[in-house]
Amino acid sequence: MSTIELFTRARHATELGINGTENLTFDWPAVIARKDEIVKSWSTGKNATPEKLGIPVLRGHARFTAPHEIAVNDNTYSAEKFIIATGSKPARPPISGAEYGITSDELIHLKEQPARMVVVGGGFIGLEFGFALAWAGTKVTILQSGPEIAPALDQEIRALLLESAAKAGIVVKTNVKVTRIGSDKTVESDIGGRTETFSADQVLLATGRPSNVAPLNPRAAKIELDHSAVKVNEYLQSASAPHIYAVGDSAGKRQQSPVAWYEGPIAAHNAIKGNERRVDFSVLPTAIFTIPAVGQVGLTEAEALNRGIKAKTTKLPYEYNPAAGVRNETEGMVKVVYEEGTEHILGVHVIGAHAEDTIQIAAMTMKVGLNKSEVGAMHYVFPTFGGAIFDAMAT
Amino acid sequence: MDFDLSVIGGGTAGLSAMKSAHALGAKIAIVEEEDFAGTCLRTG
Repeated sequence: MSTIELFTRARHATELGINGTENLTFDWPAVIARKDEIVKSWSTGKNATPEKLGIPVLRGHARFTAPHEIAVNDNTYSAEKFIIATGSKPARPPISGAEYGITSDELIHLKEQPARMVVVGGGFIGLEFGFALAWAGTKVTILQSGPEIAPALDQEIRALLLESAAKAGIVVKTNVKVTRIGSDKTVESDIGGRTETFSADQVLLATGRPSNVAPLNPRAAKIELDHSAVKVNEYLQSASAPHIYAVGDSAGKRQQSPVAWYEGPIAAHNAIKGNERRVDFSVLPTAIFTIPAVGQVGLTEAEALNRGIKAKTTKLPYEYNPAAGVRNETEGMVKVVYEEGTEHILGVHVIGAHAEDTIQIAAMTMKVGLNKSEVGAMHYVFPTFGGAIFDAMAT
Repeated sequence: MDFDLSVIGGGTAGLSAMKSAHALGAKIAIVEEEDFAGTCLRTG
């Protein structure tokens, strides 16, 4: 994504007085190869491996055969406690011809960049890949089943994201029921009773990543599921099988790596020492790596109002941020949702360059309990994108 | 019992759980069928 962002900025460099960059090309195989190298270097060596710690690795697919017993290949092993960390897998939706589509796992290994791509699903995965490929030159169409893309976003942020999608050349269709994917990758759909057909070179299925717990045969250990995930309490303990804990994508909806490595030690502690540590997600910043990116923490304006909170908002368009102006990245906005009177910060929403980083400033202020005017009165480095968070709070 | 704790899955969550459980002195094992790492890092 960062590579495509650089590519996009470089192609627009004429506006900054740098000429000759209009004819830059995007070398898909080279980018994929570099991505593979980076992934390889991160997944080897830097982490504590079981081998280094002298921990036995049971190689193979695990299946519960009894509450305290798993079978791995032909061997069975018993354990007092278990931590389920089997992650998630992209869903293949029950659409006729779904086998002609690819998931994000396959997309990032494609040898060739598709000229046209239809994305089934307008959640964050569909949006991230949709933006990336669109800016790399693919003609992208996103088909969303519901009335809105990225339903968890604040409404005004979503409106700006849609404007950015249009600038990237992405066609977004909502309330779409995909009825069939053909072997020629033609997508047939029903939009409000009308049949519409979209032709493509690749069809990306981005309809969510269900937890990958079912292959463990959870019934044998009396593990109750909530949709596809293990149903857990605040100690990450199975509600129905107290000797079982679950972490990361196996434990629910917050499918982010930082949640996974936050939960691991909590579950390990509780499983070994007894339930002493609870999970706390009261301040959980998240980002969507679109171009521009979206960052959010806390409540949206609509969520705050639905809870009966006297919520007010203050907004700062990126045009008023000098760093954005200097760098010619003025597309964006900071929106702060706060409680009237106390000025307690309820949520912060950012769309624009570096939103994935600047949102962390907002999360930090919320975690320590600073209110809007306290943040607005703080010193900060000028000119910076992060300055927009402070300036928004100062208004 | 063969182990105090068995961690099933060697992704981001599993490895962080394994490391902590090891630090707490438990007798543990980890099950993995493919590569160690995690979704966001490898495929997401």
